[in-house]
Amino acid sequence: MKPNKKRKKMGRGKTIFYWSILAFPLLQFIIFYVGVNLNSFALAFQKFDYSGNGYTFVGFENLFQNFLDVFKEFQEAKYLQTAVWNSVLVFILGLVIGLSLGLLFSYYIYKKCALSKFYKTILFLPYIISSITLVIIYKYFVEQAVPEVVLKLFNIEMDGLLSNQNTEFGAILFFTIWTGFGVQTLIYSSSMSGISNEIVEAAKMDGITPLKEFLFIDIPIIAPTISVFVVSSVATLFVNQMNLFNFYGAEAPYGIYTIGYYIYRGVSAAGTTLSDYPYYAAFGLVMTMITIPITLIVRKVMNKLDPNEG
Amino acid sequence: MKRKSIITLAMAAILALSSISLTGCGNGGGSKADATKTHLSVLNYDGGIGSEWLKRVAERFEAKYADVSFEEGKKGVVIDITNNKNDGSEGVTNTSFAVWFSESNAYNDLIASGQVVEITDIVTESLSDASNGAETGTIEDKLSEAHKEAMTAIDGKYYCLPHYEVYTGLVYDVDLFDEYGYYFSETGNFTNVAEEKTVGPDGVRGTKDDGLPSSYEELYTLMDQMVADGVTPFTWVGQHENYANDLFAGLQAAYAGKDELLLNVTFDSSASNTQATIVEFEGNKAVEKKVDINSQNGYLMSQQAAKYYAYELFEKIMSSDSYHTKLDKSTSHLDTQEKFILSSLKAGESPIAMMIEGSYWYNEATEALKRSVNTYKEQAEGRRFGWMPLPVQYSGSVTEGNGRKNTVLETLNSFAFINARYKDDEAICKLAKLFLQFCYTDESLVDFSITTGLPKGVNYTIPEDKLAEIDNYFQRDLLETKMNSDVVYPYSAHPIFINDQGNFMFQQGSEFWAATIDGEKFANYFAANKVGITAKEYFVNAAIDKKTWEEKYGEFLK
Repeated sequence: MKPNKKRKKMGRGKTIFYWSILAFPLLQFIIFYVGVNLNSFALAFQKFDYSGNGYTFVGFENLFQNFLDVFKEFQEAKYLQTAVWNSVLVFILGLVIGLSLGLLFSYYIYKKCALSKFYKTILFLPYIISSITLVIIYKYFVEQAVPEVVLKLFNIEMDGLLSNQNTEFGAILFFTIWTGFGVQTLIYSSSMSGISNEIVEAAKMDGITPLKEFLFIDIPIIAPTISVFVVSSVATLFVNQMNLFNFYGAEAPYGIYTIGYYIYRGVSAAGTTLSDYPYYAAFGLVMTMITIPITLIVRKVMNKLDPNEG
Repeated sequence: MKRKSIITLAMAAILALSSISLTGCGNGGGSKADATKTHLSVLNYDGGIGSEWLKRVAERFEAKYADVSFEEGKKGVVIDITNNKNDGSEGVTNTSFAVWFSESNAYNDLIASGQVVEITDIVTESLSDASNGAETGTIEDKLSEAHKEAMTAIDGKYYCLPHYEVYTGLVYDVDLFDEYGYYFSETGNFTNVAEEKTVGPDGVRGTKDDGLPSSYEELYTLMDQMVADGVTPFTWVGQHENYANDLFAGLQAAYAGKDELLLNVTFDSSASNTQATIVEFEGNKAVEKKVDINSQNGYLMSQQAAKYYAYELFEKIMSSDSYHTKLDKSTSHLDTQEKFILSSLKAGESPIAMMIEGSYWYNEATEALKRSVNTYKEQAEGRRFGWMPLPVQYSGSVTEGNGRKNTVLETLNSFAFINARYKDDEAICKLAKLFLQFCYTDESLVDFSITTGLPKGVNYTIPEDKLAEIDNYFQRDLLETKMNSDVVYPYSAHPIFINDQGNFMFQQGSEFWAATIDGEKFANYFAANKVGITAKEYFVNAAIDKKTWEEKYGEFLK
């Protein structure tokens, strides 16, 4: 066999291998991402006809009717405006607290300080235990244990933190940040564990302090990981439902809605019918239109801040 | 290395075997693999009814068709039961279940999206074959007028059948009522002497509701008497605020009565010659007004008097902690039921008289009831709980012959249907239809009720001797309630209802109970009451105005 032919045959073999590995995930992506999103896009310009025609085009005269309904709802329903604010708040606090504490804990684990393995396990616990179980435990804690402890210690009678409207949102926000914190820590600490020992040793020989090592060596090296995390958090800004469905099912009080919960509840609660889906499809598109530019800007900023870039 | 390979291979083998065996498992069903018989896959939403009823009907069906062939080379039938809380909202045809017994079903969606098979033939043909000659009527004969109209509204054909029916309202501790004598006497006091009791809401002496509050005024008096006796009048689930809607729906039904309540979905006074009683305010005084309802002014139903009085009662309940148990968000429905059961058994506890619940509660509380008997022995045996008839007027007391038949409201939208995936599979489709029809023979309906303690959503009579087979008071009482009450099925053929069913459902989480006050939205009056909103404020702000009605439903008003 001529070497050229052999190379060609080997090349074909590689191509077959490559496509056989890629085919399934690609198919899955096409059906469950591209297909679903295209369907959702089309749905935003449709309405449901109960006389047997199913979903039909709204017509050019009503082309943006579903979008107009979304804007009208935004204008009239104060709870939707609150939901936007709640979503942003969850994002900002999650980012600020989660990121800063996450990085500190990661460094602690990475440096194998005292009890680091124990902390690693504790931080990972929320991911081993089912989220519903965790929510139930937390509910008992804040609704029964906390008032009992306060009564015993200070002789003050108080409602559970979820029963009291002033503390309800805060209690759930805390839970969300706490349970989301572990995964960040694990990602950052595993990213830090990839830092070359030579670099750290060299810095130590130059007399670097642990704080300086953290700030000027570790963080810059894992900056791409941080960047991915921040950008993906922005992209899911209006998807995060702050565990509300786990806490309340479809019955969360309107005042603590996030946009993610509003959409999820809207399409899954009892009482949702096929005629409601086009509205939620339009709603999703509006949110996407808001999120895309923000995500692109944040990505650009993160790339600029990343010392590994350019 | 070799050892590692052996371990890896062994693990792979175990995983492969377990995946095969898992695929073969049903979920609580009695999947009996038998290639010589035709299999029919049946989904059972086993929320509060379990699956025993289905196993029993399946056994009788399998025996009846043991020698019949539905597929070439096969003889007999196997019903494969899967217990699964699937309401079909994520698609029926993408599942393999041929027959569905489910709940929370938006039946118009299922029909309009082609998810279910047309079953007009089995609904309208004689049940003679299915019942071995015991019946000559049809399933259609057993359907209420509301069901007949609503089920065929889209194209005049039947696709679904009502499955079980659930009412919402109050469960009361009959033993406690007897012990304390919480029955009104003709003199306006309380009594436990049968002859002295008032006629109750139905206005008929000698019936079960004698002495029970027939008006809101009497109910308020009863609540105060209970508190004075150290009894807690009400409890309900803290975890789910929407359980409060269970009380609103029950009260609204009882006060409005069947025909007026149906105006909430039919928007047509002329059909039943019934006017709606709405409330308008003169200052703080609620003034009742009678109006004819039609499509154009259907929005007035949001101001139904029956709805306002329900909110007013709830405002009273929430006005003092002594009217209700402590509510916290970690208390589940099962916790609440157990607390209710144990409250009059535990020394030092304030007994609870009434619980806001769905009529299925007794099945959910089975384990709690067992535990109460294990702990309190004979003291906890044979407890009597009842389904409470609710007030039919605002003040005074109903006098003999001037009451109204008890009215209860079905709220769970539970239906049975056949998966359209099998519409072209002649054998399975035929078998599914036969099975569905078989489930609606009188024998199957009675057996369902005796087994589950719950009524089916069709008309049938449970003979006394069969009723006596039920070993507990509550379920007997509930089934008697079904037979002696006007049951409202809140469905309609009106295009507004068909196109926006979600907004007119009385179900717990429905928008029907929501209101927006100063831009703040509340799911129900319970949520609003917690921030100090009065019943009047809530009711007034829940009103739908003409403009909104026309904007939203203009295309259906022509």
